[in-house]
Amino acid sequence: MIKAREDGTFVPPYKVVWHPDAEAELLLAPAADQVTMLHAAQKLSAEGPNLHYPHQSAVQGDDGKGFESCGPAADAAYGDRFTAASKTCMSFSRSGRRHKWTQLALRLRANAATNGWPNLRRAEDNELVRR
Amino acid sequence: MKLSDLKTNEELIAERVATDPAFRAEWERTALARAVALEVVRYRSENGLSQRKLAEMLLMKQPQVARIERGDTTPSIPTLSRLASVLDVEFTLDIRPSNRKATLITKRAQEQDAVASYESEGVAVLLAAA
Repeated sequence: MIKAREDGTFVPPYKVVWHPDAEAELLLAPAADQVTMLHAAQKLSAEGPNLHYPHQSAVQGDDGKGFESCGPAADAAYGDRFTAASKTCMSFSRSGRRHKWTQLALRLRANAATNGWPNLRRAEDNELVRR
Repeated sequence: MKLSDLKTNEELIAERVATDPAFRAEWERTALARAVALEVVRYRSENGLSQRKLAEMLLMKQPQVARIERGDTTPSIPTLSRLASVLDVEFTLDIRPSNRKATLITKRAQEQDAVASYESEGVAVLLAAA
């Protein structure tokens, strides 16, 4: 069920789905980081594009140095791998939000989807990943 | 690949809880903290507040708000009291044997605003914010 406000924006929660590669990547992380990332996705689900500030710094990895691809390179590396996901994630930066959520979302390869994300809703029946 | 083929975040969480004891332990340890974090994030988003602005309202420093929003440290009772006062949110924590139903949580909260619940070793915990 898609709910929309009078102003045309959509009502959360947003559905967040995980790409299989993202899931595989998640499973390699320590349990505490897995919790952090899934909790981050919960926030994404709760607030979608309204989410202002990230807590990416809480994702430290095994060596405590964070994930190296949480940066502009992630956009380049993953941007062409996705259709709907990249559009959605990029919409964060286009709207002037801080980029870290974009990077984290790309790093997680989580797709914030359906019930409120028009570009993803349109893409639902299309091929999602280009390889 | 279609979106409908992909696991939702909720499905993945349930799977991790069911299959990985270390994950489950950490997930349960942070349940209260995560529930509060979600409520604070939601409030800040709905009201268009920065962490710094919310911190001012709570008579806290911005890093304290950031720490609450990270959801990895259980807030103290005084912190919950301050959040409840400023955010106009009621936090209700119901801890009971898992074979009993929650009694402190309203039906509305259970249906709409319950933000965290889990069962472990015969104990059930439900945190609601309304």
